[in-house]
Amino acid sequence: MRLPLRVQVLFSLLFAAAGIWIVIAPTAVGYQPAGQPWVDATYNDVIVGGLLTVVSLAILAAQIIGTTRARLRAASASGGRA
Amino acid sequence: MSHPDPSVAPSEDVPAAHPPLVGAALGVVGAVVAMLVGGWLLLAPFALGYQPQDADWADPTHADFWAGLGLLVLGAIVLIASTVDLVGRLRAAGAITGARPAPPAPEPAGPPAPAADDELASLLKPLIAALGQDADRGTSHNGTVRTASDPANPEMPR
Repeated sequence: MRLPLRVQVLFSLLFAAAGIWIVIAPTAVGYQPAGQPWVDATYNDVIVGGLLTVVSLAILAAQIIGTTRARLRAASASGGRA
Repeated sequence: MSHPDPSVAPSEDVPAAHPPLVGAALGVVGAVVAMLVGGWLLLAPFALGYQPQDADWADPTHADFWAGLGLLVLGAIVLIASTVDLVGRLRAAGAITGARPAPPAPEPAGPPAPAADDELASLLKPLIAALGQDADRGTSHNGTVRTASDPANPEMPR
């Protein structure tokens, strides 16, 4: 089974979306009152969600760059042989 | 006199294009990271202490638990799909062969182990040879010389 690039991109975007949700959850759910010092749960969610978002976006960029380079290499190789 | 166009001539130096492995490998890495984050989110309310014991779950606990569970399930799905994808690409690139490694070849059959009878025969051979020499010398095993008229030796020529 081969995963197309768009499926890999979709997976990375889902992880990034989950990370963004975890970051905004304290405010969205309401357990972090506005203007108040952060509670422990907020610290945890912002750090963990931010980490997941950054890693997911980095993997997304690397997947796109790596696949594009491989395709360009394959195209140049087939062009050189034609 | 015409020379072949080098840009058209087949180039043997160009390496064969391999399927992109980076994307599949990074998919595995991303799935593992997501599963670790999901597992931590499941445990964090209890590990960090913002979920009191023996109390109803607070809002942060609900949010973290369900987000962590979703990440764990999604990460497992992506891990399986990416691993299958990576193995397929490695196989296409020739890094993995489909055949399992052959079992070690059986050792060539050596000489058969000597049986107990052979061992006994080899032990007795010097003794038989010595007895044969004694018989050739015409002496009995107790040192007495046998003569042709010796009645104890009926096989001796008379």
